[in-house]
Amino acid sequence: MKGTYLGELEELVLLTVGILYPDAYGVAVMDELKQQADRDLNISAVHAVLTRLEEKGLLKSSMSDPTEERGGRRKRIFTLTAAGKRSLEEAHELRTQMYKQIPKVALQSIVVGY
Amino acid sequence: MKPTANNQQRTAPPRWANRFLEWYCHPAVLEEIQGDAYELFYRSARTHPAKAKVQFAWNVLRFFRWRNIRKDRLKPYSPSSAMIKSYFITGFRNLLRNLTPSLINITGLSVALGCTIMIFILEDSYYHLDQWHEKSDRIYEVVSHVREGNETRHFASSPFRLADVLLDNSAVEGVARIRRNTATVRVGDKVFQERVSFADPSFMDLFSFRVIAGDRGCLKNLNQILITEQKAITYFGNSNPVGQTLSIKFRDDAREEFIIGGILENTPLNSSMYFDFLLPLKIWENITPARAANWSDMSVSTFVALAPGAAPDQLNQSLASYRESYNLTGSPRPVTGTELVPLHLVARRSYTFTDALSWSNHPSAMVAFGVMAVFLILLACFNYMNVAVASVSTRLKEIGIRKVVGSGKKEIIQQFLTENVLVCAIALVAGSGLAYFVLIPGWNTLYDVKMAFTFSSWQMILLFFGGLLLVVALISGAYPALYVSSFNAVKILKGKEKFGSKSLFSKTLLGAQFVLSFTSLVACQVFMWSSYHFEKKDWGYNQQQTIAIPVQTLEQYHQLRDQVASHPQVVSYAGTNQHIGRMGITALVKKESEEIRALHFPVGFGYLETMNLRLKSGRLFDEKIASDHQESVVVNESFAKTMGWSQPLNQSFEMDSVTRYVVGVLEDFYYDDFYNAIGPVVITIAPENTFRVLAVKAEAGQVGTVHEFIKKTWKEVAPEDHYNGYLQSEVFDNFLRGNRANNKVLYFISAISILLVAMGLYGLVSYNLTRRLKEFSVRKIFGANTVSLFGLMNRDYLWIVLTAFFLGAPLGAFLMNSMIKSVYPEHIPQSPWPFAVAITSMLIIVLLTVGSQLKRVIQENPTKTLRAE
Repeated sequence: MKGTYLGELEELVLLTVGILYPDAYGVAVMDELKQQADRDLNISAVHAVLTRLEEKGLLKSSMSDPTEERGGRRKRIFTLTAAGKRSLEEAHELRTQMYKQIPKVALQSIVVGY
Repeated sequence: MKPTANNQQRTAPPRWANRFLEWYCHPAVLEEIQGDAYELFYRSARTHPAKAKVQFAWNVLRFFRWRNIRKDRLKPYSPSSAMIKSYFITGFRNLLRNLTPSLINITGLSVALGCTIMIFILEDSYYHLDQWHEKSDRIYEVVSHVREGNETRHFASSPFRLADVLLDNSAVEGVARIRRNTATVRVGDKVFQERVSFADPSFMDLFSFRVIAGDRGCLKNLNQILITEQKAITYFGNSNPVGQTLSIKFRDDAREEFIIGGILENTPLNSSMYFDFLLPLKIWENITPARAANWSDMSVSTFVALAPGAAPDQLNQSLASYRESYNLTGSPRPVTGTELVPLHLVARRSYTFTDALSWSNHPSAMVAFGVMAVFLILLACFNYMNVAVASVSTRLKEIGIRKVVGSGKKEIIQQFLTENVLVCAIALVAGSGLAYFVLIPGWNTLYDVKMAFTFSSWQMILLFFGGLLLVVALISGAYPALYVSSFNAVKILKGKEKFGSKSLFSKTLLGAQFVLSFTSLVACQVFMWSSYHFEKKDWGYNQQQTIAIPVQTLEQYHQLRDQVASHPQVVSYAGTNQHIGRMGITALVKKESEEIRALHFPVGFGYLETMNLRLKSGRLFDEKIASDHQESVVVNESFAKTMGWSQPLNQSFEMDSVTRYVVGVLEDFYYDDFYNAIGPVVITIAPENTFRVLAVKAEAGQVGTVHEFIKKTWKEVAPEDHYNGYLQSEVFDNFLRGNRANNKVLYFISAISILLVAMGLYGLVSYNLTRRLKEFSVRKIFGANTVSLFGLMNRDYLWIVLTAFFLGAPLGAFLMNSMIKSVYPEHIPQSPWPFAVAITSMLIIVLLTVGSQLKRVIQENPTKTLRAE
């Protein structure tokens, strides 16, 4: 196992699952990603990520009630686990922490140069 | 595809994709994956159904990932699959090593399979005719049972107004009438006589005939018509025919202009109904209002589509009011009952109907073809069995080794069956090719009923080819495989297992082959003899000198008659209302209390002389005798016999309520094709204004010249009408042509059955000869000459041939005679010729086959054979 390292897509999916609570499942995650991050993902790719995250213990899942729009099939609803929550926090923390370390000059010069 | 509103809402994802998903997907994740795919599909299906399908399929393919695949689909490498591979390799090598017998087997099987495939396609299409119409399971044709004298006839036609009665019924969804006619169609300088049918606009709603251009519903407009693609090309070439006009002239001189409203796809081969032009039925009603209003005029065919779930019996009972209206007209032929015949049976029963709209093969012909197919397959299988058993002798060592190394009985059987399936599969492919490239095109050149290499459904293809492969492989392979597998390995390797001790079995098989072969050969010969009989048949009059020319109007008749009269080579001529050979009206004749159906020919003076009909007693009509214009009749022998008269002359009887007096009796003559026995015929004098045909008798041998002259004259007399004249000797050509086509097919089948048996014999003889080569060498050394060797080689086979002949030939004759009896009313005397031809040709083939091996025996140096080993 590669530890708790999160890929970019994994992180996005994990975030989305959190946003959509308590109705996060394949298609909903795909739509949300399209809407928020303008990512065009194939449903199979979303599935792959969700399963991987579940295997890593960051997500847990349960089956919903059957719905008619799916031809009477059930959905697999994903929710964050404690580990998932922690790794999101860690990722977020890491980013803000690192972002803060960028010298102001560097950011300003980009704005000027622009 | 039928894009209706209802369908769009319920569009389903592509089935194959869904099945594929269900097949590969791991059960644990199937539900969520499938659910997501469905959800996405339904979401976009509302707006873009086609795109949604593509998307669904794409998603299914994208889900095909290692993680989602059920692992039990991936079979581990198994040693038995390696063995099967080895079976194929040895099998293939073995085919190549014994090239000649393998080729014999494969060729024989392919030819037999090719014929079987063709016959199956024929039967398949026959039993699925007309079932492609979307509403076919709800469409019925109204058939009336009409009593004529003492017999009941089934009329597939019905009165025009029957449709009104049907439409009153709530169980009826739609009614469509169609009426067949001929008319002269003209576009520019193209004038042809065409099959022109009148139909209700609803005809196109009931039936699913495709319209490839223009408006399907155009028959609603009185001046618009539908024509087939083929006819559109005939008349308009490559230009767009929709919207063009053509003029159609009906019988009674009414000429009308029509606009082409739509183009029909050429009538598909699996339709039993044929038409080239569809006109609004209203036109016919307008031209002949009296006929349309007449309840007892069977003028149209009426089809009815029931509402889903409605019972035809109930509707049939409500047709009582139709019977009443019909019988109130006082028609002498009352309707006693009605019947709703399901569309899929209409064609199959058409041969029992009067005025049948559709046409198909006679069921007994279909049975005969089926039997032929089974015979050919059995012949080929026996061939295979025989040659396979015989060829085992060269593979004894191989089997021994396999057994020693560890093959059980099961494995040996498996091996031989695998090889057999290989051979059969090759033969099946070759046979399909044969059917596709040779047999079916050949059939289409012989018969009017065309066929295509198509099946009624996918399931049928799988079932047929799968079943055929299995049956043929099992029949032909089971025995050799069982036989071979029972050998004792030790004996084989010691060289003690002598193959061939069971030659009684192969002789029995060979005998069975000869029996089958004789049966089909004699059956074919008997049929050919009967058609020869029909070809040579005396028609009851000399048909060689007469020409018949149908005319449209009396004016045409007069003009043509005057021209013909001046021609020096014309012997006589006469007009007539009904012409012998293609026409005739049914009349009812009173005989004491019952009524007899007779065929009535109203003719002109001199017609009987012009037709060369032979007078038996009395006299023919004489223009100078006043009563001949009114009540005199000439009858045929059959009429006199039916009435029970020993002295028919001057007898009187009532026909259609008029009393008639017999002045002459004609010898029986054929007025219809030979499917029907000669019945009672009454001939009366018709007034000149009812003449529809001019009959012309030419000097012997000059009939061609006179016909040319008449054709030329016709163009002057009636430039607007197509010439429909014909030689009297051609009247039954349709019948005879059908028979000649059958003959060719039967020649072909007999040739194949001989060929197959010869192939089997060849294979067997060559193996047996190899076994007996030493014996022959010894005999040669002791001075046996070629003749005695040849006799020795043949002795074994000749008695098989003879026994088979006495078993098979009577069977074949019996089968074919009972078929002929079911089709033709007349008894055809049994001739010895079929038997003689069959035994002679078979003996020649046997001697040739065996003789071809003789060379080997003669040329072989005996010392060389004996020194070996």
